[in-house]
Amino acid sequence: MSAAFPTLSTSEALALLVERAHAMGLAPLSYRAGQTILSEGEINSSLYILLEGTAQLLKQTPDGRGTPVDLLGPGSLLGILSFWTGSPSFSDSVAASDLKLLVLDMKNFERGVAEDPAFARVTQQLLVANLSDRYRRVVGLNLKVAGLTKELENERNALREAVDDLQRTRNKLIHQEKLATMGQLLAGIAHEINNPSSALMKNVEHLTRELPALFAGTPEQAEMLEEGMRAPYLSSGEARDRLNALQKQYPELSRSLCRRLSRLPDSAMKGLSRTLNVRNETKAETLLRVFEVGTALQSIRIAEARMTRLVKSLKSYSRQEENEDQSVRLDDCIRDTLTVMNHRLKFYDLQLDLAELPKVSCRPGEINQILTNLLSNACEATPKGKTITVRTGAGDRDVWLEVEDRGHGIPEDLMEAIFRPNVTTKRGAGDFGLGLGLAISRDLALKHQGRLTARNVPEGGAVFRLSLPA
Amino acid sequence: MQQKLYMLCVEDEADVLDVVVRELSVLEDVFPIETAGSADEAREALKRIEADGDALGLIFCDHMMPGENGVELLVWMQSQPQWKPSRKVLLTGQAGLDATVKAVNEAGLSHYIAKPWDQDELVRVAREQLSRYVAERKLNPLPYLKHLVMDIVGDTLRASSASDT
Repeated sequence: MSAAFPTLSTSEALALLVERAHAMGLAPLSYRAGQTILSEGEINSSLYILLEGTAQLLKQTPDGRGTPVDLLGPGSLLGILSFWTGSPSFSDSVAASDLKLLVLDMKNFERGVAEDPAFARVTQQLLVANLSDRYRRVVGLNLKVAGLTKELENERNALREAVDDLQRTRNKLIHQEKLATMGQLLAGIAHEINNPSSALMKNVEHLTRELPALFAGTPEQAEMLEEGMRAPYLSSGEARDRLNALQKQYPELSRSLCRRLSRLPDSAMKGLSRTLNVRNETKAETLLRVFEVGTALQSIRIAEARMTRLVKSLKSYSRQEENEDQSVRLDDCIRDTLTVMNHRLKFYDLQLDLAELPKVSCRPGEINQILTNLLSNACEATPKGKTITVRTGAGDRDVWLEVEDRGHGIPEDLMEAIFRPNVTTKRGAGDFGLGLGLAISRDLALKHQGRLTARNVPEGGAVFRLSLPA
Repeated sequence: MQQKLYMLCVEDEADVLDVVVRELSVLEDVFPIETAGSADEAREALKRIEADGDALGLIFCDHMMPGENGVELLVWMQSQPQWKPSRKVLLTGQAGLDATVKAVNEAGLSHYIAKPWDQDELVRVAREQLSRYVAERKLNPLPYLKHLVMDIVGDTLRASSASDT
């Protein structure tokens, strides 16, 4: 039907409309810029056709201000919805410039449509043009919203990454701070233990010199003392066999006496069995007590040597504050770290395969830190009682050390990822549990112009290799 | 022959084990001592005690040992009818809270001694726990009386004599 009418341009249509309205005795109304045409919520019974100028549509927001929602030009219809449906006006309409409007109430509109085909045709064209224009704008707005949403999403992702990045940096700093504090603590403890430990050592040396001299008058006792001071340790199985044999040999002796006698090496037992056979139990008891003084002294010496070694290792292990490169042997770093970590490593079968290596220039505190991390990971990956291997070697231009565990190995797709911060394959929380150990270790390796790499071995388990320039 | 009531000391460090045994040997004229360097050796010792028809009154056990740890051993003993009544003492410097909670809840831990310990305390705890064993098992206290704590076994004696009349 519409195809039967030639479509007019907007200005032609408006000119025609003004002419037909004039014929009906209606004249356009003028509004000054800023004047309100329709208010939101108002009951409206007229259709406003914009002839000249522009009108602003405003929607009231909860804070009482109008938000501009649309700007309309000539040919636009105002109040369409409220005019036809009788519902309150949907938005404010305000003159954005001085403008002219044709105002049609229902009576005039119906009369024009019924009596003047040209009026009917032009109002119909304007209505259709307005509706299709509004529809196009809705589509356009939806596209714009989608674009904005996407943009917002991108910004949010960028923000999230920045926050994650900050979090990682923060964790790393905390971790480093923690290690530095621990290093200071270790050095402090080592120093505090060092003094009493030295005193202990000096006094034991004194006793070791003096006691044999004091017993010199009684050669049998002096000999038992010497025996005690060098008596080998017996495994608990051996000790039990000897205990049982002694109880059979001397059924009249108490079990606890037999236990004490079972510590005697054969050479010492010879002297004592003479006294036992002649039932001189007081003398046997005295000789046994002298022997035990000897073993006690030996025990103190062994324990003291262990303590001295530990203190020495603690001191060199925690030399983290020394930032200059030193010329050291990797073996020394390994020995220090193994001593400090003995409490964990004693649950595994530790294999050392250490080559003769030239000295390398490095910061030993940092190498120890890498080694501690690798060994600690190996302990977590390896079932107790299974093998952990520490190996060293030298290439043309580098020296390297490897730590091999007997865990499940590293999933191939994570082989590089495990060196990134916050990536962990451990299920439970470790000592720190931040997944930073390997990331920091690699950083330290790079600072030494070295490399830290990982690979799996066919036997199951992973090997981590630290190589340093020779 | 009178059933022997054993004490078993389990400790992986030989020199520490030596000292524990030396300090407990003041009770050995009544309560013989068995030693073990690991949980496996402890099981062998228990087998020997059982084979000889003897009983275990008390176990002193370290926690951190290569192989099976002390608490696991104690939990296992608690599941064995013949070792369930034995008094169980952890003698350790290294058991964390989790291990200790497990020992109390699942192994019926009787006492906890932290290293380094004091000889008087060690012997006192041993006498007390052995007395409780004798009392709970309603054993004739006479052969062991020398080292028992009268406050603990006295009550049981009175109770048992009261039920006799």
